Amino acid sequence: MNIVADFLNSGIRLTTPILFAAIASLISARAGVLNLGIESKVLAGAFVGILVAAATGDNTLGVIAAALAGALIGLLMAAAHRIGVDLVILAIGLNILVLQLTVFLMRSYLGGVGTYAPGIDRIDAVEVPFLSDLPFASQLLDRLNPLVYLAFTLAILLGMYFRTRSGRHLLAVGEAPIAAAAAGLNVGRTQLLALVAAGAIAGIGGAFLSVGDLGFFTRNMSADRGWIGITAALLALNRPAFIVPAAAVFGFASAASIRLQAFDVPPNLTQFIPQGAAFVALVLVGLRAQSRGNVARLWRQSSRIRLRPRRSTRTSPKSENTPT
Amino acid sequence: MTPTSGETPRLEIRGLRKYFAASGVLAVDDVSLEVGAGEVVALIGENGTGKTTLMNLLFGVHQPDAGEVFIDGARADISSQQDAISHGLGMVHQHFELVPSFTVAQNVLLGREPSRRGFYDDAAAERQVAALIADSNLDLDPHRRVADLPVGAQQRVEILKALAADARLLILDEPTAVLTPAEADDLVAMVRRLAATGRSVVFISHKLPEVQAVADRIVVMRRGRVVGDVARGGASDAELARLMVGRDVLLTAEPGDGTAGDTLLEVAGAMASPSADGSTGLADVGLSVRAGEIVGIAGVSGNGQDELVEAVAGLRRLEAGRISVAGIELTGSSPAAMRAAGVAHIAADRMHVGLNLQATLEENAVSTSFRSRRFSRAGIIRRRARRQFAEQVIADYEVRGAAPARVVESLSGGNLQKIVVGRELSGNPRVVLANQPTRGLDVGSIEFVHRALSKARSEGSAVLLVSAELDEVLALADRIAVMYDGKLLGPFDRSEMDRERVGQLMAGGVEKNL
Repeated sequence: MNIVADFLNSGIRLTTPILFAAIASLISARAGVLNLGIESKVLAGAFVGILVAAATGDNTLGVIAAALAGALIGLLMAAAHRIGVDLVILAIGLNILVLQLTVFLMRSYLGGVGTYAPGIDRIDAVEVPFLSDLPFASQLLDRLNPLVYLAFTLAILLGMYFRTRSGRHLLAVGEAPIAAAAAGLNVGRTQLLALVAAGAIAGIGGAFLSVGDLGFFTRNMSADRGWIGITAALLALNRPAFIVPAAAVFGFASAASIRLQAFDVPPNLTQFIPQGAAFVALVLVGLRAQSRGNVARLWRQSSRIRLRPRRSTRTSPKSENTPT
Repeated sequence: MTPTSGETPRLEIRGLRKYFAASGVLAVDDVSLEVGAGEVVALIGENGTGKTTLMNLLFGVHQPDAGEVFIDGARADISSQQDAISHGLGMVHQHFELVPSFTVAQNVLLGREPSRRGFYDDAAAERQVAALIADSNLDLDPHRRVADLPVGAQQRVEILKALAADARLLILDEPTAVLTPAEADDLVAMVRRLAATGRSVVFISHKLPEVQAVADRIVVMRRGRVVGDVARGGASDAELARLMVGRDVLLTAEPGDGTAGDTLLEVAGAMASPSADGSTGLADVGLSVRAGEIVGIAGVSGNGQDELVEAVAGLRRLEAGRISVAGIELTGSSPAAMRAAGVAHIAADRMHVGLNLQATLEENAVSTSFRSRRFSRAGIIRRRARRQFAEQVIADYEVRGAAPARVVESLSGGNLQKIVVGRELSGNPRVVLANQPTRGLDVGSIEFVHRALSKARSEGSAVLLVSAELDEVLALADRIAVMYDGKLLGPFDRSEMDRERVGQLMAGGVEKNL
């Protein structure tokens, strides 16, 4: 058994859900929405995905259902945003709600609290011609299912999307919503679509955990991967080109922490490695004043920008009315 | 009053009227107006006279209660900004609506980008925009990022955006408020060139000299009505000011008698680093202000003026340098210590720093002095003294529509500033820091603030006046300095300075060129 191949393999598998979450965070952030509800979307995707896969016996349907579940939460956020709900607060609520809802449903209907294992086959690994027969490559590609390839493909597609007209519009909406609205772009619809797409992608990331990689669901299966995805997107400065390496930092940190448990290293120390990586990443991001400004801006915008396009920016009837 | 009689006007407004029920204000009252093709019409008036509402009616932000709009002879029903744009109207706001990280071309064509095989086509966009730039005689590089451009160029991008949408009538809302004098001159020349291509321009302003320079016709509004419509050169500045305000206005403040006394404020070697929030910092700034004089600091906003004023007010720590008031060194003192030493501060941001809008007038009036014996005893506020003082401020400074116990939020900018000025100038301060004291005020209030500052000077205060309005500095100051990029140039004696010299320094012209 080749240790290097094995390490790379587990690193890639651990990177995948983080990459899905990071892409979801990046799309939301670039559309001008600080989306802290990704954790709930990942968990909902994992839960709904395995339920549907078990019920239908079709893993593909499970993944699609997971995407829909995430998209639905995204839609809920967009709708709440439109009526003036603060998305940061809503996201905190959603994260707790989805976690407790899955626990409740497992306890009530699935006969247990800890683990739900319906006995489905996890999604098969992709067989790459020739490579899968070579010793090193076969180990490297072991258990890498289509969702893994989808995650990395999405990262590339995202970079290309930002060069299309529609992608340019999304960037304009996120950076200068007033300018975008003045140019006739529909700010509300763009942000709604971004939230829905981000939800679907995060949901697929959840399905990768339950249906894709393990074949069962456990309580709090997302285990902060949504938050780490947000951190990875920040570390990538919300640029598609950096999103894969940024997600890989966390995926491989997790892989290293698992690997070190085989040696005589205290487990609570090794488990700290991914969290430590997140901390270091946030410090690095924080040191960049420019991106700190962006984060602060996103934070402010999350509670101030309305999804509805504003016709005029400064001249409300009220200000005009003040008699001089 | 159609200048090009016989032709169809580009824009015709008939009997437009808008009443805001919520506040009970008739903002636009039966306004009729015509703008001919290729004509530049200046729309002037004090704040809150309905200029902006009128333009918002044109742009579909509000719906008129009565009246009609015709564009090129055809009736136009405008219910949204997009409607207005498709009717050939273009508007350039005071606050630009640009995407900072996009290039000039990307901003101009936002929403109309050319694409090739599904992807945004940068080369085609830059070609299109370059053609448009050449066609309209604007000086811009389509390839530059907007965030890297100076303010004047960003404004040209906004104008170009309107032209790219085929605007035949361009509305410029207070376009020179953010420009240096040289940039403002360029803008005036550019507007004339645009008019020469047959496009019409409505130029909203309250600065009379530039209005006289740019407009074919000047329309004056007061209290929602059109009260004057004069051709270029048909009225003097004083006549226009009288139309705007409804009474005679003293346009030039009287200069000091030139008898300055002891140095009351001394700043030496003040240093502050530039910071990420856009501050330019201070680079070895030294300055002294004597009793009975006004030292004016001109310059485009954001070149270190705020840092200097805040340092003297005790609101900002210097990295190096000394500040002394009346010979006593107070470097690094708290705002309270600075005030105790006799420093009064008319803050640039009256809404957030100068006043607490949610507090009552009397609370605001004593907010810098409530700890004094006069207003409190053993930690308890002396309400009667406070009330008397507030009433005195209202009377002396003509704060209209105000009551001592009412929250000040609903007062207009001019009246808010009178409260600040009244509070700061009462009690004979040694040093008066006036940072942009007339920004956003109407002519009547500006005149009032100018008189108050002149009075403080004649009563022996050392006044440091910071203003982005060159005319204000030239009118009031005995000595003039210019701040550029954190450096202080001067002060020079008033008699050595004229508009051109100050303007050149403001734009970063080096001292030795003078």
